[in-house]
Amino acid sequence: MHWSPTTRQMEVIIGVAFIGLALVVIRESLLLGAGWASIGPQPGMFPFISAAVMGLCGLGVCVQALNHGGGGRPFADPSEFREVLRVAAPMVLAVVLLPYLGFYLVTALYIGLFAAWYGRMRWYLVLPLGILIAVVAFYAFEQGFKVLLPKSILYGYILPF
Amino acid sequence: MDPISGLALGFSQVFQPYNLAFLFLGVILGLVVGVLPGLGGTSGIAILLPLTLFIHPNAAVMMLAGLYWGALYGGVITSILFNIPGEPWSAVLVFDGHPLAKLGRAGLALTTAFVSSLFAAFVSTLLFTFFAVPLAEFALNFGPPEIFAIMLMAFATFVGIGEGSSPLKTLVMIVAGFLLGAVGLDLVTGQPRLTFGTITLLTGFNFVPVTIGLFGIAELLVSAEEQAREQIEEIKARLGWHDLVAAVREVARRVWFLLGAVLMGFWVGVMPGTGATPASFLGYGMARQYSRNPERFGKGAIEGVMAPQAAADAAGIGSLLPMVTLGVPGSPTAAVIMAGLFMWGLIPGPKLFQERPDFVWGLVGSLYVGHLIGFILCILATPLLAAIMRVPYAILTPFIVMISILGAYAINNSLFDVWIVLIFGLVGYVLRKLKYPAAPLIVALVLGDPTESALRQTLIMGHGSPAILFSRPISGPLMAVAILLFMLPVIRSLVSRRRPQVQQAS
Repeated sequence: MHWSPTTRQMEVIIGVAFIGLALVVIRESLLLGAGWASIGPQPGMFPFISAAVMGLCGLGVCVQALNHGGGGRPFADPSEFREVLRVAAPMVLAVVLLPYLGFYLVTALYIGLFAAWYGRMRWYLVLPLGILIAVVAFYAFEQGFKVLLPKSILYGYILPF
Repeated sequence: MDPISGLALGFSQVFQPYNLAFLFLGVILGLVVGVLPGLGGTSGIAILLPLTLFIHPNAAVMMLAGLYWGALYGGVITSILFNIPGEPWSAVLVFDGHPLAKLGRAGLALTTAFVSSLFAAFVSTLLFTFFAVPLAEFALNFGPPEIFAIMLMAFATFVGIGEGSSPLKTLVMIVAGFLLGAVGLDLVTGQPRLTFGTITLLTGFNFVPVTIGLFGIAELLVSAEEQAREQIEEIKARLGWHDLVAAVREVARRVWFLLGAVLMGFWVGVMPGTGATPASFLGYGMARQYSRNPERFGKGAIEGVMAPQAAADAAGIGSLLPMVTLGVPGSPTAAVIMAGLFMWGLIPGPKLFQERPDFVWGLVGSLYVGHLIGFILCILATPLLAAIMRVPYAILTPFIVMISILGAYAINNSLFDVWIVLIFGLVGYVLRKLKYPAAPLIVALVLGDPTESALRQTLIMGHGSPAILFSRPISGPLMAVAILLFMLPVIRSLVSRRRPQVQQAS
C-alpha cells in the first residue's frame, strides 16, 4: 500500500459516492414517474425525494470536508489498517469459499486456521476446536432446527455436509 | 385490558418454562455480549434475530429484550474492571467506576451499578405498565398524517440531537435506509422499483443482513484496530454480601436523586431515535451538576456510576414503549427488536394490544423478570463474566463471523444475503471511521415502508397537498416539533457563528 488516503480524501470519496448513487436513483425514479397520477403519488416519488436529499447532503459533506482545516490526517494509522486487513481478508475468503466448501467445512477451517495464524495459537489445539464447533453446529442446525445450510461440492459423494 | 389483569397474563406467560428458558438464555447471551468490548447489544440482537424464526414469537421477544438487559448489565463489568467500555452505553462508567475500582472499591462500584439498574428497571417498568395502554388507545385514533408526522419526528430527533455526528451525515444515512427499503416491489402498484432489471433485487433488501453487517461485522473490524494497541489491565473483584448491603445503602441515601435520573432516562428512551447511550451521558452530567462536591467526579464519585447506569437502563425500557404502542422504535436497539416483530408476522402498533395481548403483556412481564435474572447473575457470577474477556479475539472473531453468516443465510436460504453482510460490514467500517452513524440507516430501513405508505395515503387524503399534515390537531404540532428538530443544527450553527470567541474557547 503506497497510497494512504487522508481523512479529507476519504470524506470526499464517500460524499461523491453518495452523489453518484443519488443520481442513479433519481434517473430510475423519473423513469417510474415521480409525480401525481390517478392512484395518487407515483411509485418514484418517495425514492426521488430521498435521493434528492442524499445528493444534497453528499454535496454538503464534500464542501465541509474541503473547507475544514483538520482533514489532512491519514484515514487510518498504517499499523491499525494492517490489522483490519488481516481480519477482513480471511472473512472475505470464507464467504468466497462458502459455496464450494459448504458451511461446516468453512467453519472448521476458518476458526482453526484464523486462530492459528492471526492469534499465533498452536494449530493442533485450535483446529480440533474449529472442528468441534462445526460438529456441534451440524447437529444443532442440520438435525435439530432443520436449517439447510450451504453444502460443499463433495456433498452426496463422499461427505454428508 | 387494564394493566393489572394485563400483568397477570404477562407473568403467566413469563413463567411458562419454555418462555422462561429463552428469557434466561437471552439474559446470559446479553451478559456475554455486554462484557465483550468488540460486540454490542444491538449487534448481538441483530445476529440472533434470524435464529428466532425457529421459536415462538412470545419467547423470541423475551429473549431479544433479555439480551438488551443482559448487555446493559454486562457492559458495567468491562467498564469498571477493565477501563474499557463493553458497550457504548457503559462508556461513561469508565470515568468514575474505574477510579473506584483502583481505590479497591470495585465490589462496591459494581454492586451499586447493578442495584441502580434494578431500581431503574422497576420504576421504568411500572411507568411502562401504566402508560402503555393509554398511549396505545390514544394512538388507535391516528390516521396516516399522524403516523407520518410521528415517523418524521423520529428521524428529526436523529438529525437534531444525534450523538455527536454531523447532521448531514445523519440525514444521508436516513435517506440511504429509505432507498434500501424502497428497493423491490412498489407497495401500491406492485411495479419493480430500483431493481435495475435484476431478479435478485425484486424481494428487496432484508434488514437483517444489513444490520448484521453494519453493526456486527463493522464493529469487529473496528475492534481489530484496537488489537494493534496496548494490552488491557484488569482489576479482580468478588462481590459479597457486605458490598450488596453497602450498595443498597448508597442507593437509598440518594433515592430521590436517582428517581430523577430514572425519569430523565425514561423520557430520553421514549423519545424516538435516542436510546440508552445518550441517556447515560445525560445522567452523568446531571449527577455532576447536582452534586455538592463536583470536584470528586472523575476520581471515583459513586454518583457517577449510579446516575448514568440508572438512566441508561430506564432509557432501554422506555425505548420499547413507543415501539410497542406506536410502531416507532425509541432506540436503535428497539429498532432491531422491532424488525424481529415484522419478521414474526406481527405489526407493532396500537392494534397489537388487542390482537396479541399475550405477546405484549408477556414482554412487559419479562421486563420485570429479565432484570431480576440479570441482577442475580451479576451478583453471583461477576468473576466468571469477567473471565470472558480472556477469550482470545482470534477465536471469537471467526466464531462471530460464522454465526452472522449462518443467520443471514437462514432467512431466505440465499448466498446473496451473506454477501450483503460482508459488503455492508466493509462499507460500514469505512463509514464508522468517518463518523457516519449506523443506527439511523437501520431505523429508516425498518420504518421505510410504513413511512412511505403513510406519506402516500396522506397525500391522497390531501389531494396532493401536504398542507393536511399541518392542519390536523395532532399531526400539526408533531410536524412543528419535527421541523424544529430538523432546524436545530442550523440554529445552533447560526448561534455559534454569532459568538465565535465562545466557540474557540470551548
